[in-house]
Amino acid sequence: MILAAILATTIFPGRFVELPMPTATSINVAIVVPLPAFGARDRAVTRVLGRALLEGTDEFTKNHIRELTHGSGQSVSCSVMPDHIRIQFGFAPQDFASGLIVAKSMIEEATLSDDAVKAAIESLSYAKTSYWTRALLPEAADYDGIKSFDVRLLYYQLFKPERLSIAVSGPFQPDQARDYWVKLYEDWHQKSVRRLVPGVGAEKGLIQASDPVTTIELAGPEFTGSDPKLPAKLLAIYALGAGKDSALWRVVRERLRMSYRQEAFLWPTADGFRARIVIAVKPSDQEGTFAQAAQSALLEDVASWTDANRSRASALAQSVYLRGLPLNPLQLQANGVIGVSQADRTFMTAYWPLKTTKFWSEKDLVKSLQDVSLDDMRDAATDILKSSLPRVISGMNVR
Amino acid sequence: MLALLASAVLFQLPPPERLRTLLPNGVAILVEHMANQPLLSVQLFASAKYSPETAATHGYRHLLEHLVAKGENGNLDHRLESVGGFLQARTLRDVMHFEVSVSPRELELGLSSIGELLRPLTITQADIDKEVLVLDQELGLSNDAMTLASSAWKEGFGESGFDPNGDIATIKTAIPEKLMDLKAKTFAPSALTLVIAGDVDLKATTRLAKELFDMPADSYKPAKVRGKGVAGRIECECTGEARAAFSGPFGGVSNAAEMSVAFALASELDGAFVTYTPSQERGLITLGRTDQSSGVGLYIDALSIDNLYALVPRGTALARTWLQNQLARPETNASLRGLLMSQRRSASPEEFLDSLDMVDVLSFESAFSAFSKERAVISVGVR
Repeated sequence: MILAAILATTIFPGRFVELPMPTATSINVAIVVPLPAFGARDRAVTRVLGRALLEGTDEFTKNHIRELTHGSGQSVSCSVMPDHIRIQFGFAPQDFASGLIVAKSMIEEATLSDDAVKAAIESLSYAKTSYWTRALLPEAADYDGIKSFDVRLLYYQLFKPERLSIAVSGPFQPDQARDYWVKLYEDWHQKSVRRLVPGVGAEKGLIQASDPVTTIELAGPEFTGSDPKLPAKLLAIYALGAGKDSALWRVVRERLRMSYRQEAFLWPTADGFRARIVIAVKPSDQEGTFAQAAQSALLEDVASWTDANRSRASALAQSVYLRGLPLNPLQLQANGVIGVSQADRTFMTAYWPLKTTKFWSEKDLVKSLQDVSLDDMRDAATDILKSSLPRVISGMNVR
Repeated sequence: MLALLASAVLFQLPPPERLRTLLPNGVAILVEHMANQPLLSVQLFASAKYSPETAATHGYRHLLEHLVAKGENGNLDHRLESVGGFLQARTLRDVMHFEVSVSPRELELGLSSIGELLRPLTITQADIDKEVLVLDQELGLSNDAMTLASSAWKEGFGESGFDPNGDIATIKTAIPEKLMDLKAKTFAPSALTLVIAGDVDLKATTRLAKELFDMPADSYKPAKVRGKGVAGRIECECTGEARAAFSGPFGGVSNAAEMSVAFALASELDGAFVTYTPSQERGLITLGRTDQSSGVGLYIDALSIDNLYALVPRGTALARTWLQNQLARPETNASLRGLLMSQRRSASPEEFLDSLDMVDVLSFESAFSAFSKERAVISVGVR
C-alpha cells in the first residue's frame, strides 16, 4: 500500500518520488529520462545508448549490478520508447543503500566504453523482434558510423539531473529514500556539455518484415498529454480495441474474419500520444484492401454505439487500473502491458507527471474515464478512425 | 487431558489458506483465500489425458477451445466485460485452460461462466467453418520462439509432442459429431479441476463451486504418457536457436535444478527466452534466442565448470523468485496450481520450493548436462 508520495525538489533539481510500501518484499527503482522529438540519427544513437547502459558503470560492473538485482524478481532493464528511456531494477531491502548508489552510478557514470558500444550495435543489428514489436516500432535504424563518443555525448545531454524523473518504492520508512538520495546527490559530478539539439538525420524508412505476417495499421493524429480530451480518447480506445467485446474483435475478427490478433492502444510520442490500431494478418493478395475495409466497418460500428459500449469500456478500464486486468491500452513499452505490479506502479509514478503534469493515480484516471459521455467517446473514436493513415508492413515475400 | 490439549492447540491454529475437495465423480476443486486481492480468478482445467493429440485430430482440441469459450449463446464475453470481467482460454499439451477474472463481488458470475463452459456443446458445421477461418489466421502468426520450442517438442517426443495449436489442414476435417465426442472426453468429471483464488470464503465458495459439477462419474481410461523423449537436432523455418532439456515431473529435485540452470543461463545471454509448461510428465525446458547471431549452443558448450558453479546461487534465486511471483497473484497462482492438480490431484507448487532447497552444486551440474548437445534437443532456425 502506498502511504505517501513525497517530492524532494529543493536540492535534487529533477523529480524524485518515494513510495513507501510496507508489505513489499523488495525495493524498486524506476528512472525515466524524457526524449525530445529526435531525428532518425539521434533515435539510432538512443537505441545504442539503451543497450550500452546495461554494460556497467565506472564503479560497478555489469555482473555486480546483475547480482544485486537478480533475487528481486526485477533484473536490471533498460528500454527505449519514442518519448523516454526507462531504466528499472529491484533489489533486496537489506541492499537499500547499495541499490540507490548503483542507481545514481547508472545515471551519472555509465561506462559506455568503445567495447560496450560496439557490442550494443552488434546486438541491435542482429536482433530479431516479433512481428508485433516490429509493427509497434516500424522505423528502421541505421547504426553505421555511430561511435562511443556520440553515445557518451548523448548520455551526458540526456541524463542531466534536472531532466530525470525517479521513483523508488519498497518497504522503507517515509523520507528514508528521499533523504538518502539527497545525500547521494551532494557529490554529483556535473558534466559540462553542449545543449541537446534534436532533429538530426534522415529517415531510413520502414523496417522490412522478417516473418510471414502482415501488419496493418491505422494511426490517428498526435495529441498532447495535457489534452483535456485524453480521457475520452483513452475510453474510445477501450471501446475500439481492448477486450473481446471491443469493436475490433467483434467486427474485424468475428464478422470480417480478417484476423486473429487486433488491438487498439495509445502510443507515446515525444509530444504526447497517438491512437493506433494494429491488425496482424496472414499475408494475402488482398491485404492492400484490408485497411480501408476495416476502417469503414469500424466507423459503421462506432456510429451504432450505445451506453452499453461506454459502460463496458469504463468497467474494463476500472478492472485494468484497479484490479490489474492485463488489458491496458496505454502502450508504454514495446513488450507486454503496464499492470499494477510494484515495478509498473513505480514506473508510472516517475513517467506520468512528465507526460501529463499530473501525479499518477489509478483512481483519478478511472474517475476521469467514468465521467466521459457516450457522445464524447463516440466522437473521439470517429476522429481517430477518420483521420487515420493506413500503414502496411507486408510479410508477402518472406519465406 | 491429552485430547483436551490437542483440541486447544488445534483451536489456536490459523485457518487454512486453501481448501482442496475431491468430489465422488472425480472433479477436483481448490479454493485459495488471498486476502485483499482486488481480482478474483476462477479457472477451469480440462486434462488431455483422455483426448491426446494424434495426427488425425491434430488441432481439434484447439478448435474445441475456441468454440467452448464463446459460452452458451455466443455472448459470454459481452456479459463478462460489461461488469469488467474477462475470459481467456488456451490449449496446452496437457490441459485445456479457461480463466475468468472478475471482481471479488462477482464470484457467482465467475462460477456461472464456468458452468456455461461445462454444458454440452451445440454446434453446426457452419460454426466450425467460421471458426476455422480465425484459427487459420492464428496459426499464420508465426513467432520464432514458439517455432523453436514446438520444433524441439516434435523432434523430442514425436506425435505425443505435437504443437497444441494444431495443423490447419487437419482442423478443417472437424465435424460436429467428432467435436462433441471430444468435448465429452475432455470435460469428463475425472479430467476436470476448478481453482478459485482471491479474497473469498473457503467453505462458502467451495459449496457454490460443487453445484457446478452435478454429473455422474465417467469411466474413461487415460492414454499413454509421453515417454522419455529422444535427443536430436531439428532445423526450422525461423531465426535463432534453442536448446531444449528433457525434464521430469515438475517439483522434483532434478526439475528444480534444471529450471535453475535454464534461468541462470538465460541471465547470461541477452534477449534469451525460457519456455516451460509445468507438467507431471516428461517435458522440455527450452532455452533459446531469436537473434540472428544466437550463440546459445556455443555458450553452453564452452561454459567452464568454474563459471557454471558460480551460477548456482543465481539460478536457484531466479527459480525461487519465478515461483514466488507466480504464487503472488490470484490469476497466476490459480493457473499454476490448477495445471499441476489437473495431472496429479495432490501436486502443489510448494514441492518445487522444497526441492529448490536441495539443489546443490552436484545436482546443478547434472542438470546442466541435460542441456548438452548429446542429451538435449537442438532447434536451429534456418531462415
